[in-house]
Amino acid sequence: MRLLKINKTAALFVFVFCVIILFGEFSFAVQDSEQQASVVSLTILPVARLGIVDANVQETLIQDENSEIKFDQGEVELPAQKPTLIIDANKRWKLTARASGFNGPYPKDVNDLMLKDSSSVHVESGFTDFKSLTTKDQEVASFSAGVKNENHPCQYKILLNYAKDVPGTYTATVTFTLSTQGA
Amino acid sequence: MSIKKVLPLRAKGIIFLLPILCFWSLLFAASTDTGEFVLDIPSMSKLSIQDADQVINLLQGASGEDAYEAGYIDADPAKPKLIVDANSSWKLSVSAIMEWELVGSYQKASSDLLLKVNSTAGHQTGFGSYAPISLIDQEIASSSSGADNENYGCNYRILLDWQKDIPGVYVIILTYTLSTQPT
Repeated sequence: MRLLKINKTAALFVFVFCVIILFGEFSFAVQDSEQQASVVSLTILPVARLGIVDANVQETLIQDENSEIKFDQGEVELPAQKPTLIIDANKRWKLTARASGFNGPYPKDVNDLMLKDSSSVHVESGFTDFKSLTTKDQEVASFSAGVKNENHPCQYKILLNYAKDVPGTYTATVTFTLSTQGA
Repeated sequence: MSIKKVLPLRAKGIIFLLPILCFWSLLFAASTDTGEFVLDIPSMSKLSIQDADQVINLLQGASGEDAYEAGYIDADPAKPKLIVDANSSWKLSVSAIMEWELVGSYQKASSDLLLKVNSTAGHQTGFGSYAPISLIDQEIASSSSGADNENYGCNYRILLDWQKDIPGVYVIILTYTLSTQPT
């Protein structure tokens, strides 16, 4: 009986000892891990960019048959794709154009300056063909979403009139405006 | 009491005291021995972060336009800064916990956030140049030994697209994880 009691005590002692050893081993095996958060916040406002290539266009009518033909036709077309507008926008946008009056020997009608936008996309309000400019902004092109590097090759045409357009140098300034739209 | 009877009694006393004296001397000898001190150190790691949250504002103007043209915008360099401490082999990793928060119905991809990490600690294994973040943990650095105040400067770059990235506030959360590794 006494021997049995001693064996039980010994067994309990061995058990406790084993538990301690195992717990120790286990505590060494556990790996540690830590985390940290980083919040990145980017605020984007409406942004638009209008580029212009060959902004200044010049045409000289010389005294020859071609000039006579142009006067007979009542118009002269300036070089194509001049200027070329390049549009970037990150949301809905609108491109408008307006002209100052002509500076020259006489106050040539601003409507005598016409513009055509040869872009294959997003051209509005009749500027797919030559259309007279005014001193007020007219919509040339627009789109409901952002665009990247969208080219708008433009061309000017000036109406001619034998009776009114006396010799001299006529200049006009055309202002193109690209603006984002909506809230 | 006769002398014959007295001597054996003394001899018996000496024989009885000798083991006690020996044991006592042993006790004194043990008390001057060095004690054993046991310290169990588990695997431990500590990840600190400075300038955790980064706010980037894309301005309306040349800088905003230039960022779109470049196709990206950079956050302040070396922000956030991670500091790694570990007492055993370790791994530092990063992941996004989700895609960018919706802006309207637009879901910007988590891979539009690039990360480049600068460190002179010699344990960097990834993100030496700008690489996209994903929802899956990607390793930045690791070592088979401990680390003491190892610095990792993080540089964020966000890709931009005129046609996709509409105005709004874009938010994404990254998680940096430092974990000790089984040897």
